[in-house]
Amino acid sequence: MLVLHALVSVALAGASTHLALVGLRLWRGERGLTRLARIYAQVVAATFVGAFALGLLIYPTFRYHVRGVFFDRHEPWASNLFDMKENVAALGLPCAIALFFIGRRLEPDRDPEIFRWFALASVWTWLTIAFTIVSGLVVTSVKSF
Amino acid sequence: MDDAAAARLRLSAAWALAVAGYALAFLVSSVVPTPLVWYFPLERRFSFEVRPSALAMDFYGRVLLSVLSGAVVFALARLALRRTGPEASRQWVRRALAWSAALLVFSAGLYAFVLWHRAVTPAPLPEGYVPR
Repeated sequence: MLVLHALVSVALAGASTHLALVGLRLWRGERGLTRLARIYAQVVAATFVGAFALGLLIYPTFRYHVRGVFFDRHEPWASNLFDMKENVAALGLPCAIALFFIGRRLEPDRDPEIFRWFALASVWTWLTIAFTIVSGLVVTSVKSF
Repeated sequence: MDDAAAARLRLSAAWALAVAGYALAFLVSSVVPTPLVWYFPLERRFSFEVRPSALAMDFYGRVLLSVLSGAVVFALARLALRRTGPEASRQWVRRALAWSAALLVFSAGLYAFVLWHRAVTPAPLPEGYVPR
């Protein structure tokens, strides 16, 4: 399940990076990318919820067998970094879900206010995903069982 | 502005307010002692309390509380903005965007600060445990 969580996270990282870049280009006036932004918004929302749900499922095992027994005793910084990661991910969740519903009917030319909200939600979601993935890699690279 | 565009604005305002509601619940439940659903991974049971008596996780409960708060705010916003005109909806999108951005950034910063300085207490080792 950890491998599946990592694979979905890789797809999420790709989709959210593309969405953030497409959002920035749309902001600069490249309107041909609207359809792509809609598609990436759907993919980001689906993969975010998938990765988050898988993370929730494996969390109890981690909480005792990895964090409780090993990290808290030998690598307390890794325990703290992991908790930062999970809380930052939780703060990205509402924006990822909102992207799904707002992105479906995005029309940057007709709704500049909605587009601004969409672009900021995309950037925030990307930031939370980038932090989550980098810190997740750091935590899993710590010597464990 | 046509009806469909006005409806999109109202929906966006409701989503922006829902994000703010989620972030507010997440922040308040982190700084104020709040009864939450706790999961005890060793005993495999849930409990609803402020402070657990054994090794437990509050993450499920905090996310659940935040999602429910966001859903309630979304439903209330949809009701309240039902007859709102495009200009008022636009203003609500701006306000909610500012509030949600401030709450999300502040909550993330607070968690980073608190966790950076946290001193953890290790759980007792299981009986017969041999370290590798």
